[in-house]
Amino acid sequence: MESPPHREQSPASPIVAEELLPEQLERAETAVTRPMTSDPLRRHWRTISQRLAYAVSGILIFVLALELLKRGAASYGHMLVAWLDISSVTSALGFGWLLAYIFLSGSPVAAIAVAFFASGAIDGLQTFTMITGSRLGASFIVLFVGFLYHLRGHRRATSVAIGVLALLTTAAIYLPALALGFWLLSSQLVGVIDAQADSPLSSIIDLVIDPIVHVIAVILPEWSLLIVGALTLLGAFSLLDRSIPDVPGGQSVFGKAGQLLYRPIVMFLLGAAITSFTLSVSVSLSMLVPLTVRGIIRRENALPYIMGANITTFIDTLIAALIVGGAAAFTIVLVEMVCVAFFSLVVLLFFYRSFARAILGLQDFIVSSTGRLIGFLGVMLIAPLLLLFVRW
Amino acid sequence: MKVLMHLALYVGQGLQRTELIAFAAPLIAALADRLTLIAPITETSALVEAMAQIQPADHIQVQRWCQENHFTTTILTAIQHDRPDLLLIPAFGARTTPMSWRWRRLELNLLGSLSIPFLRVHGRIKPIRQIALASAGGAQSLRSVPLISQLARVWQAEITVMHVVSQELLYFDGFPSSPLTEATALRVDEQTRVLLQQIVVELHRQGISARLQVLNGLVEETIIAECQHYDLLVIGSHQAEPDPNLPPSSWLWLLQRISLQDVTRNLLDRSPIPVLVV
Repeated sequence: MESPPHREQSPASPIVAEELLPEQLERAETAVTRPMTSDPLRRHWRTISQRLAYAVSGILIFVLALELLKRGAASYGHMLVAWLDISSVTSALGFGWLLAYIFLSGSPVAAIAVAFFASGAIDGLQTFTMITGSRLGASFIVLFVGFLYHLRGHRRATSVAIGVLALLTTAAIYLPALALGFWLLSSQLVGVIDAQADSPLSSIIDLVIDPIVHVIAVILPEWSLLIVGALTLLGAFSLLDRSIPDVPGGQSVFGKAGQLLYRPIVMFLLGAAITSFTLSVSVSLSMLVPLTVRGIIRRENALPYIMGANITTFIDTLIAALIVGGAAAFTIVLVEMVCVAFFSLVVLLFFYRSFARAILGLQDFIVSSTGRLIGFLGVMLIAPLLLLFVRW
Repeated sequence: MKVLMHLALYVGQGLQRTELIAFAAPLIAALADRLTLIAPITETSALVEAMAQIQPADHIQVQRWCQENHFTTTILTAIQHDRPDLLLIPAFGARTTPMSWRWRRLELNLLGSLSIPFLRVHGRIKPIRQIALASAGGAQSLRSVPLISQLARVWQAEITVMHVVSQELLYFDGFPSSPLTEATALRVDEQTRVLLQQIVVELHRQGISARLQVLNGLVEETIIAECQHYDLLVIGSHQAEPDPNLPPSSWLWLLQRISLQDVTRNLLDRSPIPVLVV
């Protein structure tokens, strides 16, 4: 019997596992376990379906988290609010601001504010200021991401300075919007807008979410629902982030776009559009960091982008308000959104040049000295803490 | 090498008409082989007056263009008909009075539609010794070198190729007094660095004293502030070329065109010194 033909090994082919770097090893293992998809179309569809799956599960978990928060807030939200003594609109502002620092994002905090309102833990005006606080704190993430980029060896000033710019722009628009919105709500000039989450969403909640919430509420102690709800909310946002296509960055994609100056209104609309897609100002603004570090977006372009992003970031809070808070919560969020949009458009249409000069000049002033920067960061940390203890 | 060119001069009413004619006369004497004098039909006497003031040499072929009633249509039809190499014009509307807003808008719209290089004489007019050539790093700047060097030779002026980077560098690093070095700024974009250096080399080859200056700041604000140190600002024509690979009829080209900021228009509007748009 003839022996089977001997297949010779190429002298270059043998690879000993020890010689591989851990990441190479991981890649090799992945290649073995996953079948190779040679067809780019199939790969493309697989990516799309993966993202769709992330989006759908993200939305369902988002709704689940809101229901858990609502239940947790009903039992322990009052206690937490009483313990921290969130008895005034200013303390609610500070609370939302600080909580956004902890979550490194504003959206979960805004959703928590709505859940607290729905359970009666805080009133309408406190909800309004807590949401504003969450947005002020959310800009901190850009500074944080900038700092991470710096740690990863990117040029520092660009990445950190964009964080300072985001904080300043948000404060410059949100503070007057806060005053206007507060006046509109407290003087009851705006009636409760009748809006409801329509039947498909309600049926999903009734059919899928409610039984899960019921099971969780039976298994877990009541006090933990608030924490579990908050963690689930973070998980939901993480899934929603994964459903977003990768951010195109680098000269190869944008060509010479980095050298061009775009009209402020164009960047404003772009910021608004991208944020309405990502649903989170943190994600949208953080996208600016890699783009700017690589020299893709000029500082002039970043400012109106941030202004646009700051408006559509309320979309997810509007949805959350509809799901757990009803028409009253929806009205509060809508008033906030309209006030921010009003001031942004006034600035953009009438005073953009002087506004940009003032904000970018202030940014220059802050980042051009270590002392001033540390002072600025100190103010950003201390301000919400102080507000937390103001009883007005 | 001296190359004679076809110059056009608007001699109708303008804010700084007298300064414009005084500015243009030596340029015409040194560079022109053809001269077109432009004025609206209502200002024919201005042509005669200007001829007396300029007194062009015999070898210069002088042409008088006196049609249309309004300065915008007069200039546009003259340009379309004659296609001069360079148009010299005054400022038409003052920036200071709100009443002149409409007039100025008309003027800026006209300047935006001109398809040839033009020099707008306005603001502080001094003998041209220092020229700032503001470049974003586009190939257009390189194409403008022959014309600029010809003018610089006449004025015996030095050229500074100015590039503004609107990003910041260095942080937590002790903050040196100058926040941005040329090398660091240009490391971001190799293509721009090569082109800017190419412009300087090309100017040197033409026998012009030139240097490169990279500044950090907001583009328009920085250029306007720097103008204080120069006698003439040279900039590229209206709007950067969005993408030379796209056909002008494509919707993407149109979209890019709409979305880009018109830096040239803004600089023309705010510059305190004469501006040459190439």
